[in-house]
Amino acid sequence: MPLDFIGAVLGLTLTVAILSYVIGDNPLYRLAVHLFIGVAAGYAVVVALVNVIVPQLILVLLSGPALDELIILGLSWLLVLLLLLKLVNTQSAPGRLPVAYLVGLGAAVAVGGAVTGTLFPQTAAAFVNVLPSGSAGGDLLGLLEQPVSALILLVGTLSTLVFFWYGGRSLAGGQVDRPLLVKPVARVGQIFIGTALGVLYAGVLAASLAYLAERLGALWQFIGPFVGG
Amino acid sequence: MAVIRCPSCGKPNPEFLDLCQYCDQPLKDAVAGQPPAEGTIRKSLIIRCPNCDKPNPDFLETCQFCATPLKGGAPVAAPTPEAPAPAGESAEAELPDWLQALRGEAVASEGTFVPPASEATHDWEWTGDTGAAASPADDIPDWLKSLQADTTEAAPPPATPAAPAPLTPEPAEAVPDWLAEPAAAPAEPAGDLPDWLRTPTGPLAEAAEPAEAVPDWLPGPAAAPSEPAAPAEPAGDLPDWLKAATGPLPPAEPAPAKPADELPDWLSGGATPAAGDLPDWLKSATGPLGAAGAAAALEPATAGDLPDWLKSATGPLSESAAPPAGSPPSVSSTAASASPFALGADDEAAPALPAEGLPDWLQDLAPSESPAPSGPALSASAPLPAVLPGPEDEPDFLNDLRGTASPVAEEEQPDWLKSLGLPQEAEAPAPATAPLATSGEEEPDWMRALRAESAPSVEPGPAEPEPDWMADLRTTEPSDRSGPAVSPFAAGPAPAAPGTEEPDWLAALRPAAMPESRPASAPGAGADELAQGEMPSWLAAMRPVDIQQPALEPEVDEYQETVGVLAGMRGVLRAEPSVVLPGKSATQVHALAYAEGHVKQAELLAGMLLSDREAAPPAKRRAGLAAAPWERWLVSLILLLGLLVPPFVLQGLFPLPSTLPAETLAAFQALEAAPAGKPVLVAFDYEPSQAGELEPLAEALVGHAVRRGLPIVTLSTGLTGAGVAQETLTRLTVAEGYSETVTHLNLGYLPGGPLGLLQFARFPRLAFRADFAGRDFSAQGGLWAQPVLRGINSLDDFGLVIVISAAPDDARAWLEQTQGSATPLVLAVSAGTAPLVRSYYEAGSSGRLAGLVNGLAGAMQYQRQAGVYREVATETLQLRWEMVGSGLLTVALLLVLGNLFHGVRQALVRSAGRGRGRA
Repeated sequence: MPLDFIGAVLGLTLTVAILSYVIGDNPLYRLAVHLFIGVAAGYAVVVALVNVIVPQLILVLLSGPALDELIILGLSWLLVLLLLLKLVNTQSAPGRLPVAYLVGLGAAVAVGGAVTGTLFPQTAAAFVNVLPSGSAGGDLLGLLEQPVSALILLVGTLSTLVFFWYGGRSLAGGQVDRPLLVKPVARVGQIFIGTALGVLYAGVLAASLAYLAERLGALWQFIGPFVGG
Repeated sequence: MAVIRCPSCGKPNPEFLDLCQYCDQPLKDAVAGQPPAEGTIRKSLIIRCPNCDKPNPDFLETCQFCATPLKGGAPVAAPTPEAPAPAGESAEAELPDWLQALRGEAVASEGTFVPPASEATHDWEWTGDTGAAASPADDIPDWLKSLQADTTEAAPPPATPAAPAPLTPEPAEAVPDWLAEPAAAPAEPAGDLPDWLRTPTGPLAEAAEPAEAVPDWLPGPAAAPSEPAAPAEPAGDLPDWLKAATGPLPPAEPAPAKPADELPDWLSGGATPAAGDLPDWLKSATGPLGAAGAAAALEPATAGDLPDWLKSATGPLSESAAPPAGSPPSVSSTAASASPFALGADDEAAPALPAEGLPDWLQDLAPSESPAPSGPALSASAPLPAVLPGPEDEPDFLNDLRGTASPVAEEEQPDWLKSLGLPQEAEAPAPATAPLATSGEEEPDWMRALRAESAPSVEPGPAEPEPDWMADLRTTEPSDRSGPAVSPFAAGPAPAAPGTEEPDWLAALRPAAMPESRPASAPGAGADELAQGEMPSWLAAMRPVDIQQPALEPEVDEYQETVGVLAGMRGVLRAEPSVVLPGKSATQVHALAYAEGHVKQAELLAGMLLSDREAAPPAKRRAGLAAAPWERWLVSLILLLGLLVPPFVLQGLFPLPSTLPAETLAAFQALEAAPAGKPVLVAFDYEPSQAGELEPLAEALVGHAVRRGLPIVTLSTGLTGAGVAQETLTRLTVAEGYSETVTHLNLGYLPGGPLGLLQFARFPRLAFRADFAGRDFSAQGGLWAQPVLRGINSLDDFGLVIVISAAPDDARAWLEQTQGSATPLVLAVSAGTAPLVRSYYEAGSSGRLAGLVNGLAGAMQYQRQAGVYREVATETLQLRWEMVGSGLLTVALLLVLGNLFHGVRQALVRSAGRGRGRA
């Protein structure tokens, strides 16, 4: 029996087991989930060991590293050993050092990247030209595409920002309402936000259907020859 | 009694003393009792000191003030009593304080005893004829202050005119004032009498005063009209022994000088006053000293108790002439046996005294044989027999006095003394020799001791060693303390019980006897008055001020609140006085005005509050899957049918997209523009479960790169992505003749997330030391020595970066951490991630995203644009595209139908609710 067939059978069985959740929690579903988690964890450990630990900490040490590499390797091993102290005592003070190093350095890198890679570019992208560009062509649609796109972008950005302006004014009866100038703009921003969320939902739904279609197609490809498809 | 002059200092001493009481020199060598010349009483002279010009008795050899020898001084006659004022002025400064205080009192009342009006008078409150008005109040003891206050109320005129002195009066400056006034009464010249001796003489002079001058408190003993002088001693001032004696004095000798109507009640009441009218001291005296034979009863009882000096005094006094009737009683008479201070009336008995038994000063008294009218003051010593000690106990000088006085004929006695019916021996007044021998300045120690002991507020005890004979007296136990005497002036011996060793007057000297018994000073005083009088004045002064009645009435439980919210309640404490209690307002309180709407709102509020109080109904148990299996099964069935039926039944319902989005076109162009010699880095950042959507993207992009023959290097930031990359890479490159490590290589898993990306972007060689399979290629020079990786030192060395990710965070991390690189980046993301990363593409030139391909549709478009795997891709992707298309349509229909169904059901529920509401 070829391995592909065994793999296809296992794949079919596990897929049906996962899809059995449509009738609720059942042992078949749990078995499939536990098997998936266990295999994924084992696979992750193997990958980490083969791709990270062995080549980064052992092979380098055995290969006779240079001084600079040896210093870096020594610091790496030191952090590793300190981190291993948390296996003995989760509140180990020495074990906090590598954690602090990783968290601090990771946060710094993430923040720096967010500022320079997201905030500034996105802010700069908001400064759009609402006038028709000369390269759009001679047709009217081409001429209006840029201005309309820029206008929608501008209105959507401003109205969305206004929507998250939480200032209000007190009315009679204890109610609080947005200011008169802010209220209609916030309503437009709410429409934009709703539209964006709808687009996200549609994308997630389309992705999910694609996953399902792929699985159904795989099943059909396996079952089809047996059923004459 | 014999007096021994000290051979050293020349001062007189009782003969029983072995040592001089002044200088402690032996006295035995001296001749005892140097009497004056026989039959003559030397005129009392005063010798002025040549140094200080102060008067001194002539018997003194040295000045009593400055110790200057006085022999060179010329004697000066004592002033007459008629001129006391200058004498008082001149001698005032020379007097001791206590005498000055007494002297001041004498100005107002001489020899009178005035009890306080409101409280019982103490026996020691003897106003006397003392008084030094100039004495400051601060220097006066309390008991003397009280004397000053009392004496101002009764100031009988002096009786000096009625008591002519037989002797030539001494100059006024030689005699202190307080003694000068009474000195007129006795026959003895006042000038010879020391100051302290003149004090008791005052009453003697007052004996001739009309009855109006006698205070009312002297009624009892004066009941006998024939002898007003005998009971003239005020009860409070009389020692008990004298009280006892004076009370029962028989009215044998009527007082000729005093008419009955002028006498006080106690004098004029009768010889035998009623027992109830008599004070205690008088009652006690009347008992043993009845008219039948008081003398016989008293004499043997007291004779043995008297000291020697007193015994010696009683002798001559008993024989002395009785004082004339009408002379007021004097404290001196009562104190005759107790204190020499009260023996100022000895001047009457002095003429009978033998000259050899008397000192000089007493010899001066002797010549005054004429019975002075004021002499009865000494006759008040009629009670002496009751207290006089026996002859064996008497001092010598008293014995001497007794002996000298014994020859005195009974007819010489004053009537009032005769009326007492006492034996003549017992009638002798107490000797005044001892005190007479010294002036106020030369007061002997034993007298000081007496005075100190008699002071009510002063701790008894002499300041100097007292004479032995006085100490002996002190040590004897009192037989009766019924009549304590605090003051030496008022100290009167209580009637001694027969057989007692110590006379009462000595017992009275003891301070301890003071509080025990205090004779009633005011006759007829009730028990309340006595009880009230027990509190001393100094203690009464310390008595706190009476607590005033509270201004407010005390709150009681019956109080009923009339205002406020507590109206009608009893027992409510008033928080404020009644004066500020709120009164009822004149304005009527109207009922609360409310509208009908207010009532409804109040009811609504009450209903809400009531509903809150009610227990919340248990939440409806959520229906399980078995409860409504049809909904979930129905949706699942519809979705499954929508995915499967159209592709197989309605093929071509969803044709492949013919258009190419700009971002997808940009991605295609970026890959087309990738340099041929540089490898394309493909990041498989998705899991196998997401392969249904992203695998077509990976096949399209990687196939495009393989079609162009670009080296391909893969990696993954996820643990499972490296395996997916390996499978996809292997599947795509095998057919195209790709060789591992030459045209393609899977680096495997890149740990660290953003950190790993950053490190890989800058130092890729440090990030990977082995490929996905764990090969480090050490034999071939290492991983980075492989052909596909040669020349790769940073991210810029790659021709293109393609990131296939289903998570927006992974795509954003690639964009952020590799933004410094010039290598273009193309994102192939899931349809759900595309909206989140599209902005990076829309950023245009500010971003580094070269193209974006998303979802299954994007993969179909890219493949169609790139022309890779056309047939296979078409069949597979066509089926998957139709399934996804039909599935999206099915989902859309389910959403619409589901919303419609929900809306209709809600409408039905509402309509049903309205129907029930109407019903």
